[in-house]
Amino acid sequence: MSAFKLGFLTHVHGPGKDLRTVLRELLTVFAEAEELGFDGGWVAQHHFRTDYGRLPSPLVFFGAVAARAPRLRLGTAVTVLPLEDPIRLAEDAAVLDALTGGALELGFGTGGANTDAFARFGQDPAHRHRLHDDNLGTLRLALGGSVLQPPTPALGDRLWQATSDVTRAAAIGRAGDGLLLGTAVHDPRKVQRPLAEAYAAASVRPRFGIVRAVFPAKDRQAAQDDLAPALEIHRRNFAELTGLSPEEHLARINVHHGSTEEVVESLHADPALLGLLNPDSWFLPVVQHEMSDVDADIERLRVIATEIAPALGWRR
Amino acid sequence: MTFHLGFLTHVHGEGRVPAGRLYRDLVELFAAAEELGYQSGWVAQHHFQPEHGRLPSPLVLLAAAAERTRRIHLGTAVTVLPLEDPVRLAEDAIVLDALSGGRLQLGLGSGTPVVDDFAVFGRDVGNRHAEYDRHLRTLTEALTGHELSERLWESSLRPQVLTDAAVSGRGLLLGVGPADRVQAGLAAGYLDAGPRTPRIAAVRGIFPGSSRAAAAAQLETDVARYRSLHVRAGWAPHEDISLTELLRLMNVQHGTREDIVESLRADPVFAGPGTHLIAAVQAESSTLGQALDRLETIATKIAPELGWRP
Repeated sequence: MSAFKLGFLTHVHGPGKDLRTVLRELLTVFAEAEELGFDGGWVAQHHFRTDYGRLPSPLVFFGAVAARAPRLRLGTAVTVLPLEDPIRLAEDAAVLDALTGGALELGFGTGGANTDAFARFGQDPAHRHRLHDDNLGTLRLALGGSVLQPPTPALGDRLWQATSDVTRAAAIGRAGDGLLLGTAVHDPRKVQRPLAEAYAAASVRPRFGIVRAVFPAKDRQAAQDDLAPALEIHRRNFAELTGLSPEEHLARINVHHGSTEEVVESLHADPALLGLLNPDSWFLPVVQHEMSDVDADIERLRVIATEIAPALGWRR
Repeated sequence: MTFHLGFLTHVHGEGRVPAGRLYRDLVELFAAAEELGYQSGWVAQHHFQPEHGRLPSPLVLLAAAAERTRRIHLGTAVTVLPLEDPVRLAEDAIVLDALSGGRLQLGLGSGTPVVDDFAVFGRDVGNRHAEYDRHLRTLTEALTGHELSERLWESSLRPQVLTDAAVSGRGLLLGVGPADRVQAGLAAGYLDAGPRTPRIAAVRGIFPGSSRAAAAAQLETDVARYRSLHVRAGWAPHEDISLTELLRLMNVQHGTREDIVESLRADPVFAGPGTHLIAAVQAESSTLGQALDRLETIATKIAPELGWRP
């Protein structure tokens, strides 16, 4: 049995590209990942972004993936739940889940990285936790009730949540949902481990989706050279990263990089990864950076599926 | 005359066809229709319907159809606009339009007062027209400068909505009700407002059979439920009208190929200002095979008689 499920997560970057090109390339990545034996592909939802975070409609995109790469499981990490109508979201999810034969994994966040989008939806980001919890309650009722068509009760067991709050992590465990870790800048030892422990203590059957940037290359220097322009862009969005050296920056945001051996060693040393993964859990490498091209992304996925993940106990 | 030929389905599923099979069949219907030369395929949005109208999320399904096809345009007839968040709808529509290479045709309607789906969304069905107008403003603002603005359609009985649609470059969708004479009046109002490039789609049930009577008899059970729906909508005088009269009021063309060609030539919308003929070929109990047969007959025998070339 495989030690975990292997997926990948993309934030759907594409500075200067038109949306048609961005989405055609993204479909190619999903099709290649299916060929490589990945268990699933995950996307992040962002609103009103022009260069980075180009996908506001994950489930519409997944409709196309269902036709192009029907063997992949399809996940969101995350859907910005405060900005969704939970009934319409439940309907979209139900249709997609029926279309794909039950392949959907639905992950929710409160929108901490999307606070600039709330006003356009007539919402106040200060209320984002309450909006998230209310909408999740409505969505859960819809999935479990008799009104929603098509009926999709099983999807209730494939919900995930992200949080940076230990109390909320325990509540996610009690609710029976999976816990997504590493969707933003979170220190694995000081932040993610306490979240994981609080969650696991409260959960009957814990399952984790753990996001890690993974950039295999010839060696560490080659990976750092490739990542340098992306780090410049990334730094602008996070004040706490100002003044760090590239090495420090990469360490802070958990970028595992270098040769296959170096990446495997670095992932083994990650304090909130292999010790948490189980067969119900997902390892979700991010291989796209702000400036990367699609062929390089696919090559990194190939190295992960053929060399790195097998060394960590993953089996196709 | 030349016209654009499309098809429409309300996504019925006789008996207990599982939703997954129903949706995958629907994607194949788009692929088959494209092969036959159809220029567009349209799906209707219905909420919370277990048997009739089983698709609440047209854009998710059309994304799958987009990936399975190359040329055929992908339409909604209609999206129930008062029940959508117009900003999220604009986002979904732009993503689908990009995925399909600019093939989305987005049809909008205000919903019907005879079902209780508004309450589930926490909305008052009595406000549906005001909500429609408000959401349309937000949607069109969000789409400003996007080429999709040229591919919006509206289905409405309100003269002011149709005038605005004409002035703003949106098309007019005329569906299973009211009867064709009333629709001809709506189309005239739309044209009077002076649209630069008028687009008027006649959605018509088209059911070929060995004779008018035989085709009508095949539809009798399926259309029975429309007697009360049509009376409640004000489109039929009472429920005791004959089957022939009900089918006429529903704009259902049926019979031999010759019968259908003749009745379409007499259709005051299609044979008048209509630019698009959208064939609805699925009744409630229709199988996928029957729908495919009807699409083929229409594309190879009926539409060419009327001047259409694939």
